[in-house]
Amino acid sequence: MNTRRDKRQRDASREIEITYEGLARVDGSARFSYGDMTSLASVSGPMEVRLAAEQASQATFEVFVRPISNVPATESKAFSSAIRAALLPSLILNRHPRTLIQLVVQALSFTRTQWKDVLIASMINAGSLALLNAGSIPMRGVICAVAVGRLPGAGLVIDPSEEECAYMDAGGSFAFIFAEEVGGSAENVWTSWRSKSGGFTEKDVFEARELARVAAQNVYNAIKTSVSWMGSAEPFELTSTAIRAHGEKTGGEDEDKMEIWCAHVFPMTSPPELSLVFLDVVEEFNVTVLMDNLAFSGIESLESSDSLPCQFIRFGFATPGHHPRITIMGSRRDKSEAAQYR
Amino acid sequence: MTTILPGEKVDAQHVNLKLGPGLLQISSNGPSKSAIIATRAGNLHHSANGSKWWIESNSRRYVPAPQESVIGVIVQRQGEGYRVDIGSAHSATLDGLAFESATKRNKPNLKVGCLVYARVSLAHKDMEPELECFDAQTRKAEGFGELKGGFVVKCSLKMCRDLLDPKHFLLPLLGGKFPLEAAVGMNGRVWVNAKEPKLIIAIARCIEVVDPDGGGMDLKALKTFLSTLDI
Repeated sequence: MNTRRDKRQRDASREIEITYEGLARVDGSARFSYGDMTSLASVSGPMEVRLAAEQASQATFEVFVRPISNVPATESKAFSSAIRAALLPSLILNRHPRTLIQLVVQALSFTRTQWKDVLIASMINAGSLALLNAGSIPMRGVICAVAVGRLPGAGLVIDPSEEECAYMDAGGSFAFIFAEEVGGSAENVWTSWRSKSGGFTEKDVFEARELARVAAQNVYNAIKTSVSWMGSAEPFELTSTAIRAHGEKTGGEDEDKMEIWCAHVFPMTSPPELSLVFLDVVEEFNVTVLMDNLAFSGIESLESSDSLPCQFIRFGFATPGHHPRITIMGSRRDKSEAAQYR
Repeated sequence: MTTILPGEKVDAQHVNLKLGPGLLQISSNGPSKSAIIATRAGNLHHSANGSKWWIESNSRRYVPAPQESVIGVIVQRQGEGYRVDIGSAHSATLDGLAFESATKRNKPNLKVGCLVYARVSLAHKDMEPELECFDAQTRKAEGFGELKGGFVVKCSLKMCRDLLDPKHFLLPLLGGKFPLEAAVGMNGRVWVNAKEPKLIIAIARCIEVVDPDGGGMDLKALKTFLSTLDI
């Protein structure tokens, strides 16, 4: 059933976009978007702390939120305390006592409605990514947040758009910690669920939480994918498609990028092999192949030649009969050439 | 090599298991008494026999670890020793007697702003890091001490580790073109010196472009880049 104006399923978020900015003078930074709702976060630390904020047994974690316009005021304070509460369970602060970990989140989008939950969710995710990018702060899990809204008549929807927010009678963000330590499924660590009219029952919250949990898993998958190209030069995604290894030879082709690559699965060989042929590739580039979100970067068995505008990859599946989800990404070694092939 | 995120379990088992950066042993109440989890995002590596495990990732902030060589700037003189900025959360202390052939009467005279190449002799989360400019056993300098002249380039921690790898292409390539001196600290600072300022600038630019944090140029691209420089 499709009841949403932007043709999304009710449990689908807008397109997730992750960029590692590499901002100067900070230790880690990242940009996260749900559609056009974008936030930029930067992290510094562990660094020297003001004497007043020093804690003898753990690091001090400060969050500052900067709005897109005007000076930070009451709303920014509310946002920063929400982000801090959501991200705190993932940090292992006692490894660096008497230090400061500072997170600065800059809103890059404007919300006209009262429901700021999508913005907060994107800020939490951006903060989480910046902490991952910094790499100097030990963490026990990854926090992913997603907003849920309740529309009268239509029910619960994930990641409500600006238009849907105007009609919502209840909503909020849910933050989950993804860590195997807590036992498989993602644990809900923070929520801002509330109702403007009509109230809500315990059942409503649980239903919204379960819906959010599934959507948060997608955010986690996107984060995991992004980490594999973190630190490599100018990443771009060639294609993201699920190739199913059926009984016979299957060809997976992406309409937009058809000239760049095509993939063939040879299940007849044992173990089955996937070979990717990159056509019209003039520049050399690093290729990362993700199978079930495990990165196989570099690819030792890469058969490529520098002179020919064609690259050929062949590798075997780990387990025959298993249908992995495959993502192929490339990062061009020369930044200036990248735009040409986008 | 696999990509790993914080919180993911690592199936590391060995009678003499050693955990490196980014890994943490935790005790849980489940059926397995303890588990090993990742605490940072990066690539999981292990030694051939599976006894040593670590996570390779890049970062900019230095956290001191014992026996690592670092480049520091003297920020203060205090009585018997010095306070040194090594880029970590707390400034380190360097004793005036922790130099080769230093005695109570004959101590090196370092001024505020001087550069030192030193080894971290003590690193504990609850204490300030301590440095030494000699080998405590042999009492020889072994290359440590004040760095005179030259220039300090700041880079990411991954770049520093790469430069310390004898198989890395950058320093041998530059060394083949002109004589140079370099001291690589594990704290994201590299001291370089050459005969002419333009050579020092060239080295600094090369480190900048090869740094995985700021371009990650490879050997082929670097050679083209070097040909554009007037050296």
